[in-house]
Amino acid sequence: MSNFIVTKDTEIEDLVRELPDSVVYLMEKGIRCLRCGEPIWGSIESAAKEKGFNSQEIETFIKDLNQMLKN
Amino acid sequence: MSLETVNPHTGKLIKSFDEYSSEQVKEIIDKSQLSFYKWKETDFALRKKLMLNVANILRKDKRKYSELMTIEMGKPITQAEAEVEKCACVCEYYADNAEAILSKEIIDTDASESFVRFDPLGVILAVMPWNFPFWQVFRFAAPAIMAGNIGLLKHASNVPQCALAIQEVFQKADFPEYTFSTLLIGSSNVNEVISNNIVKAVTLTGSDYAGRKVAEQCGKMLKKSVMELGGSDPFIVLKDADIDLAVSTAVTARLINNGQSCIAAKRFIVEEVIYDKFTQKFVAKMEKTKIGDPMNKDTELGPLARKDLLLELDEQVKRSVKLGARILTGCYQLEREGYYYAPSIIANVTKGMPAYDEELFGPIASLILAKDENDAIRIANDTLFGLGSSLWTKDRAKAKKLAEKIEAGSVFINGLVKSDPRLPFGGIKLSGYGRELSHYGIKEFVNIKTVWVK
Repeated sequence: MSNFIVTKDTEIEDLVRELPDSVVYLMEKGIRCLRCGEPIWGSIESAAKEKGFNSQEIETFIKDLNQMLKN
Repeated sequence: MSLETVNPHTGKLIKSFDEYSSEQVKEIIDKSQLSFYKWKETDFALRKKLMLNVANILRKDKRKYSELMTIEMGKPITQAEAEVEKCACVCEYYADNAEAILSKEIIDTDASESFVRFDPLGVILAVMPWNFPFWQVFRFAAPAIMAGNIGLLKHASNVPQCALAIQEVFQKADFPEYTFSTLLIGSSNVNEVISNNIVKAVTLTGSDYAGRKVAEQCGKMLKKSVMELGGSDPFIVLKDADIDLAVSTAVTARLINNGQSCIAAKRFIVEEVIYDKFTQKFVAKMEKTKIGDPMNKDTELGPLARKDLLLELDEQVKRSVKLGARILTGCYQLEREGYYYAPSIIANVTKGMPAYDEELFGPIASLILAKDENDAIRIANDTLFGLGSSLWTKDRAKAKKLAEKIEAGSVFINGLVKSDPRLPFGGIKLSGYGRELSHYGIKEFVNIKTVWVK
């Protein structure tokens, strides 16, 4: 847990396990991390790109998520 | 990445496992192929004997396997025990019936002899979810292995101990090594397994999202796949229904497995004339639910399986309420250790709300008012999913006619939607394709081979 750092390549499966609150944060951005009780497959970057976010916006997500991890 | 058992009743980490390396996975697949060459030559008498051993082991160690499920994903222990029993039943069903179902089919043609035989395909990958961690695996494995195939399991990452326990069951039953193997891997490694030439087909039970990913990879490799995906099942109550029976089943249908089932009733569509009466009784019964430690025999509702599920569900409800849904009961996280959510009902649910458009994977019923019978069917079909459905009316003739109009893989009239080894199970639309169980299920993973003799 303590060594976990969010990057754009972090799998959603790992993200929601290490930082469950990320599902609410990403839902607010329009990205649903869970379907039918399972984390969606793929990385944060691929999930965000599917929803039309650009690299800069994805960087902001990563920064926010890492901040949430620290809190 | 590691795979972890976290007890949802306490939120505490119980055990973690390292993921298998690519080399380990490859070695298991290679050995599975070697096992296939021998297994496909075995006769049905041996397969039957071993599959009945599996059923016996499951029953003998029912308590152990039930506790494992409850610890890993939180289902009430009585439901876990029923699940193990059901697994034993599906093994017996295919042990007793596989030979007859797969016997050669003679067809008269211009040949002196022509017939169809059903040969095994080889190594089959099963990607399975955590909500029925034993049942969903056995309903694939029993028919596939009886047909002469080899099973490989990629289970959900939060039930690694169940995955290993199932492998152990097959070993204890004296199946040859690598007839059934568990791969402890994350979802990011599934494509690599599908791409392996040894793997001949894939079955997935899970979300439409995962289904698309797996189907896409199977498409690229031109491999057969069966998809059993999500649902947003309608529970349609018409004005001439037995309301007490419908209410009592509605509560079970929504709360079974702590509300986390693809075939749980999720949208309760009730005709206007009886709406108030049904609602009043539904709320009263829902509020009497016994919530608590899933290890207790009298617990009816335990925790959700993971914290992220709890948070998502809560958010979906809050958003629905913000958009005009009305809370009739519950709709909050319980203030206690673990991932508990109150048994809940929301009304005034309309299109555009998460409660209408998305699958709510927890103990929340969405009530929708229908003007009349036709409106009820229209609302029932107004979903991207098409897995199960149930219809409540005392008029059986009318019910059978309406069943034709419902877009779903099954219609249960005056009964709870459930799977049964004797009946096909599966969906249409975003709920997937292909069928499991019955004679349809076992024929999904065979080569339907024509033999023509001059």
